[in-house]
Amino acid sequence: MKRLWWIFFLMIWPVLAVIVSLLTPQLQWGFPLSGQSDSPLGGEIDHLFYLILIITGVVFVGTHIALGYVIWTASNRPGDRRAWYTHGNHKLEMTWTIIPGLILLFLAFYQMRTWAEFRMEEAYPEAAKQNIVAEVNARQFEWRIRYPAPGKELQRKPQLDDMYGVNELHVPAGSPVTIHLRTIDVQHSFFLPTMRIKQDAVPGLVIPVWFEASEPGEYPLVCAELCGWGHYKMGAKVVAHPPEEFDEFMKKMHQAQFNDGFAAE
Amino acid sequence: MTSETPAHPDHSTDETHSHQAHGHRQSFITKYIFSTDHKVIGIQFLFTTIFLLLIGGAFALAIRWQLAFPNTQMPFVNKAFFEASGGQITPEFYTMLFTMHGTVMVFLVIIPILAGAFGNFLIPLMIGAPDMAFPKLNMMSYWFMWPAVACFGLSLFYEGGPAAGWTSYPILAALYDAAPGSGFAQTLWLMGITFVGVSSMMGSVNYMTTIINMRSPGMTFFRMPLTIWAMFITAILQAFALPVLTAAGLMLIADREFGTCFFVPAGITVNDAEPTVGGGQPLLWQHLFWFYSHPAVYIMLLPAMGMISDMLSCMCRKPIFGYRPMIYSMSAIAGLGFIVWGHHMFISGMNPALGMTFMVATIMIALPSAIKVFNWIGTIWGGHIEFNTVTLNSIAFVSMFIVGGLSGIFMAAVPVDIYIHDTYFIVAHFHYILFGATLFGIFACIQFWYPKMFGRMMSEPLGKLHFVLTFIGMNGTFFPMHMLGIAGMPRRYANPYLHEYLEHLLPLNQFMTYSAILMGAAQILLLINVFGSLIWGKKAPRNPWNSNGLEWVAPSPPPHGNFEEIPLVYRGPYEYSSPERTDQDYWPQTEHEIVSSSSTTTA
Amino acid sequence: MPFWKTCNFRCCCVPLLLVSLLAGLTGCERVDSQFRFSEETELLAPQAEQAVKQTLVANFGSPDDPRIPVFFPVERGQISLTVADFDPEKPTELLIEKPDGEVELVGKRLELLFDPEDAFDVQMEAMEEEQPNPLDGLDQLTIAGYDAETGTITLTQPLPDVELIEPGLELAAAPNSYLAEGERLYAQHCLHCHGVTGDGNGPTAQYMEPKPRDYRQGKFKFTSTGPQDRASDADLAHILREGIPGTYMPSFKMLPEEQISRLVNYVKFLAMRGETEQALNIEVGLDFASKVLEEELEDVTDPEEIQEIKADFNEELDEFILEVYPEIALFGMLDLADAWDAANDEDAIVYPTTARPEPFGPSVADPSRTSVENGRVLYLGKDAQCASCHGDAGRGDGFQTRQLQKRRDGSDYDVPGLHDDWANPLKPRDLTSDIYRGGRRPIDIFRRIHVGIKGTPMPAFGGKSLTDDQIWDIVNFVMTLPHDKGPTTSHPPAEGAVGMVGNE
Repeated sequence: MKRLWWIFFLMIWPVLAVIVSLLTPQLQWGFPLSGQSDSPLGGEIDHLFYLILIITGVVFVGTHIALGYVIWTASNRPGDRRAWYTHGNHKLEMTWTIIPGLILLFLAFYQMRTWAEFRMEEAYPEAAKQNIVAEVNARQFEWRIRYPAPGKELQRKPQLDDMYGVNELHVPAGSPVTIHLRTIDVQHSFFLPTMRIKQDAVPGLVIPVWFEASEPGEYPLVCAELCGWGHYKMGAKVVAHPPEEFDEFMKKMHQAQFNDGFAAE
Repeated sequence: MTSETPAHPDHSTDETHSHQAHGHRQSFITKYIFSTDHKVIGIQFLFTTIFLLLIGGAFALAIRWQLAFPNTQMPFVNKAFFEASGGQITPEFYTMLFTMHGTVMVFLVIIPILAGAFGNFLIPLMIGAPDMAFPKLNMMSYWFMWPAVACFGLSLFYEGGPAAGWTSYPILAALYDAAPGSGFAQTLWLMGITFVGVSSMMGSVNYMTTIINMRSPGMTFFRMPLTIWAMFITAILQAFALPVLTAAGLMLIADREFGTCFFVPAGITVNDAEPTVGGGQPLLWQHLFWFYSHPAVYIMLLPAMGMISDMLSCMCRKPIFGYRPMIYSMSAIAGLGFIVWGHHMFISGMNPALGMTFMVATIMIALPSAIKVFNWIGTIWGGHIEFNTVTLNSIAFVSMFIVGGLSGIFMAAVPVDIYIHDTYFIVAHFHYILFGATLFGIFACIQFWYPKMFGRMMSEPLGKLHFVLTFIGMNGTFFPMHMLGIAGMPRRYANPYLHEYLEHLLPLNQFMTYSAILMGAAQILLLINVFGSLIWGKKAPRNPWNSNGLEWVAPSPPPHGNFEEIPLVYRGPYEYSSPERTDQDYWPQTEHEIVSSSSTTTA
Repeated sequence: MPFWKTCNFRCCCVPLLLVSLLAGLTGCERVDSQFRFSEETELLAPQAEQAVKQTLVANFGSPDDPRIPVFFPVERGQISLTVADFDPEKPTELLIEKPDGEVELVGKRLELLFDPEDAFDVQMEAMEEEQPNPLDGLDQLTIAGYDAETGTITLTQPLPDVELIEPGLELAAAPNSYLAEGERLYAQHCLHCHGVTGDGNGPTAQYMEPKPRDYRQGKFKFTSTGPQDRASDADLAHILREGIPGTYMPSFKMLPEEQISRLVNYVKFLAMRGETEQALNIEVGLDFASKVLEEELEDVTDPEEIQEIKADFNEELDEFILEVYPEIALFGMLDLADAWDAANDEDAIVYPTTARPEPFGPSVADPSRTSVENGRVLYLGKDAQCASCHGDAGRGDGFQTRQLQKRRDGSDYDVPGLHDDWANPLKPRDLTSDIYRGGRRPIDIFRRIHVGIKGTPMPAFGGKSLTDDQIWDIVNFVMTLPHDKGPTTSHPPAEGAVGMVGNE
C-alpha cells in the first residue's frame, strides 16, 4: 500500500502540472491582457511558442508516463525475482538519439525566419525601414523620447525643432515603425509585453527596433534588464494612434512643445 | 572485519601517499580544521555549504516576502533594517537580496557542495586511492572559500551591498555612481568571485590529476563509476572556463578601481557625475561572463547527474542502462557547453546572425540531456525498486530535470526568447534545474553517502518527510513561475504590481510565497536529520546499500588512508543482479571470484 | 575515531541555537511609522520641545493616521454634512441635513469643523476660568449609529454644551481619507527617497546626486508661480508626470490622474507639516532654545544663582506656553494656509506679457540684433550676469563655482561652489547638455529666468532687472546653446554604433 502511495505522490504532480497549464488561459495567467498578441510579429512568436509547448508537452507527458510505468513495474517486482540484467540496448539508444535529434533540428530551423524578420536588417519590412518615428533614450529610471519635427526625418544629433516626451511613445497603428534605441547610462531593455518585443539598450550603441501595433490603443512598455534599484519603476506606454490622426497629433505636440505661454492669456 | 571503527592499519610503509604523519597524536586543529585528509575536507565543505544554503534560503524567503506582500513590514528583520523607511523593504535592499541570493547559491552552495563536498569525499574512495594527489592544495581549496565568504559578507555592509545582480553587468557594476552598492561593495563582490574561482581551480586541477594518476590497479577509465566520470568532466570544464571569468573579474575591478575602460564606453553619465571617457564595450563582459557561466551551469549539474546514475543503479539493483552513452552524452554536454554561451545574449544587441548559430547549438544540447533521461528511465525499467529516501529524491531529480530541460527549449528558440528573456520563465527554468534537479540530487547523495561519511545511518522517516514537504513546496513555488513568465512579469522587480498588466498576479505570487515558506521550513528537518543522526543515528555497516563501488569496501567511516589494503578492481561498478552471482544480487568491484560473503554482507 | 564523536556537543547545539534564534527574532515588534521631528525641535528647551511636538502630533497625526487642520487647502476626501439641530439635553445625538444619495456613516470618525478662531476663543476662555477645555477629545468622535429616516446621528461620546454647535455647523465624516490614500501611494512610490517625513532623507537618498527634495521648507524648485509664492498643485503634478531629467526623480506618467492628485495632496501635507514645525521653531527658539539658557548660564558659577536663572527661565517659558504659544501656533498655521491657498490663485501664475520672437529674427528688445544675438549679449552682460555661474560658454563653470560661498548664518561653506538652501553643493546647469530640469518648453525656461529657481542661488529676473522681451532673447539664446557645437558628450559618437544602425 505504501508503494502505491509513493507512486501516486510522485506521479500526481505531472498530472496537476498539465491541468494547471491547461487552465492557465482561463485563470488569466497566460499571455498578458487579452492573451492575443497586439502585433503581427508577436502572433508569429506566439505560434512558435505554442508549437514548442505542444512538442514539449507531449514529451513531458510521454516521459512521465514512461517513468511512472517503469517505477510501477519495478516496485511491483516480486521479492524473489531479480532485476532484469541488461547493460543497455544499442538500437534503443540510436532511436532515442536520432528521433529527438531530428525534432530538435526541425525546431531550430523552423525558428529562423521569425528571428531574421525581427533583427536582421535585410529581412525588415520595407515600411519599417522608411518609418523611423523616434529615438528612445532609456535612463535611470524612465524613457526619454525624442521625435523629429513633423515632416522631418530623425537625425542622429538633436535638432532645434525636435520634440520631446517622457514615458509615452506615440506611434501610428497598423504599420511597422522603427525606433532608435539607446541609453544614456546603464543597460536597459525595451520590452513591449503585449507585442512580444524586447531589445536591450546598450551603452554606446544605437539599436534600431521595429514593431507594429495592429490596433490603435495603449500598450505597456517596461524595462526588462536590471538597471538599478528603480528598475521596476520604468513603466511607460506606447500609444498607437489611428494612422489618419497621427500627423495631426504630432502637429499638436509640436505646438505644445514650443508653447511660449503668451497665447494662453 | 565487522567493527565500524577499525584499527588503524599502518601506513608508514605505504609510499603512495605523501601526506604528513597522522593518527592518534594529531591535534584537533590539524585533524579537523587544517586537515589534508580529503574526507575531512569534504565534510568541511558539506557543513559549510549547508550553512550557506540556509543563508541563501533566507535571502530567497525575503525576496518572496516582498513579492507577495509588497510594502508591508517584513517579519523578523523590519526593526533592524527598515526603521528609516517606516518598516517597509527598500528597493535597493531588494536588489541586494536577489544579487546575494544568486551569488551565494551559485558560487557558495551548489558548486562547492557538488565538487567540494562530494567530489572531495568520493573521488579517492571511488577510485581506490588513499587520498587526493595534492592534499595540501586540497586544503587550500577549502580555505580559499572563506576569503570569498568574507568578501561577500563584508560587501553586504557597504552602501547597501552589491546590487547589480549575480551577473553584474556593467555599466551598473562598473561605475561607482551607477547604483547603491556599486560602491566598494561591488569591488568586494568581484574579489569574492575571484577567490571562489581560485578555490574551484585548485579543486579541479586536483581532481583531474587524481582521477588520471591515482586509480587503483584494474580501475580502467571504462570501469569508473559515472560519478567519477562526471567529476572528471566537470573538472575539465572548470579548468578551461574559469580563467576567463577570473580575467573578466579582474578587468572589471581594474575598470572600477584604476580607471581602465574595458567595459565602459565614452559619454556615459550616471547619477549626475561627469561623463565617462574611454572606448569600452559592455557586451564584452557579457561574452566573458557567460563563457564561464554557461559551462558553470553544467558544473552545477553534471556531478549530480553522475551521482544520480550511481544511486539509481544501486537502488534498482540493476546495471546502469547505457553506460557508455551516458559518458558520451556527458562529454557532449561539456563540449557543446562551450559554444552556447551566446544564448544568454540573444537580445543583448550582439550581431543577430550569431543568434542563429547559438540557437542551433543550444537546441542541440538538449539532445544529450534527453539521452540521459531516457537512460535513467531505462535503468529503472525492470529494476527492483524500494522506496527509500534515496530512491525518492533520485526519481524527483529525473522528473524535475525533465521539466527544467524542456523549458530550456523555449529559451533556446530565439524568437520565443525575445518574449520570455528576463521574465520569470527563465527563473522557473533554472530553479527547476538547480533546485529541482541538483538539490534533490544532493539530498539523495547526503542520505546515500552519509553512512560512509559518519558511520551512522540517517533517519528514513525524517528523510521521507523532508522529501515530501520539499517536493510539494518546490513545485508550488517554481511551477507557477512559468505562468508569471508567460504573463510577462520581468524578473528583478521589487514591486511588479505597479504595472497594470501584472496586478492580477498578486494572488499567484502569494501562493508561491506560502509554498516557499513550507519549503524553507522543511529544511529544518534536513538539519535535524543531518546533525541529529550524528548522535542518534543507527550505527552503519560497511556496505549498508549492498553497493558495488569501491567506497563501500572501506570501513565506515574510512580511516586516514581509506583502505586497509589497496583494492584491486576486476569489473565495472554496475554488476547488480548478475546471473553469474547467485548468492547475492550485487558484485563488488573488488571481488574477483564468487567468494563466501561472510565479510561484506549487511549485519 | 569517527568524526562525529569529537563534534558531538557542537552538533547538538546547532539546531538548538537555530530554534532559539528564531524564537528571539519573532519577538521583534513592528516598526511604528512616525513622523520625525527636525533637529531644531530637538534643540528647544524640554517644555517648549514638548509643546511643539504636541502641536504637530495633534494637528498632523502620524503616517498611519494623517490629519490636518481644516483651514489648510488640502483635499481631505471627507463626507460633508451640516448640522440641522443640536439639543444639549441629548448630547449624544446630532440632527443633520440629509446628504444626497446613500452614504455609509456608521463606524466613521466625525469631525466638527468649527471656525478655528472661534474655537480658539472658546478654549482660551475656559482656560482663563480654569475650567477644563470643552473641546478636548472631540477629535476622537465616532459615529455609532445613523438613522437615515430622521437624519439623526448617534455618537459614541457626548458633545459638550458650547455655542459653537449650532445649526449650519459643518461636519466631516471619515475625514482625511484622501490623505490616507495619499500616504499609501507615497509609501509605495516616494518614501524610500523622500523619507517618511518628507525630509528628503529616505534610505535610498544617500546614494543620490542631486539629493531628493526636502519638503519641509515648503520650497519647490520649479514653479509657475511668483518668486515668493508656494508651488501650485499643477506645478507639483507636472513634476510628478514629467519627472526631472538629469536627476533620479522619474516620471510617474503611468499613474492615473487620481493617484497623481492624491500624491500631490500628500506632498503638500508633508510640506505644510514641515513648514509649521519650522515656523514654530523660529518663534519659540528665539527665546526658548536650550542654547539660550546655556548662554545665560555661561559665566555664572554660583550654584544658587544658577538655580535662580533656571527657575526664571522655566517660569517664563511656562507662562509663554500657556498664554502666548497657542496663539502663535494657530496664527502661524493660518498664515501658512493662506500662503498655500494663494499659490493656486490664477493671478499667482506668471505668464509672459509678450510673445516669444523667432530665435533668428530681430529682437524686440534691441532691434539692431537678432534675438539670439541679443540674448548672447544679455547673457554675458552685467544686468543678468548669467555667465558668472553658468560660464561664458554655458557649460556651468562660471567663476562663482570656484569661490567660497557663505551660509545663511554668515559662515563659509566647506567646499567652494554654489549651495542650495538645504546646504547641498549645487552645480549651475550646463546649458549645453540639452537637459532642462524644469521642462524644456520656451515657457518653462522663461519662468526659470523670470521667477528663478526656488531654494537655489538662481535669482528671479522678471520685472526687476530684465524685461520680458529681454528674457525671451535669453531663452532663445539658451535654447540654441546645445546645437551650435559638435556631438555632445552625452551623445556618443556614431562610430560606436556602426553595423548596428539601420539606414541613415
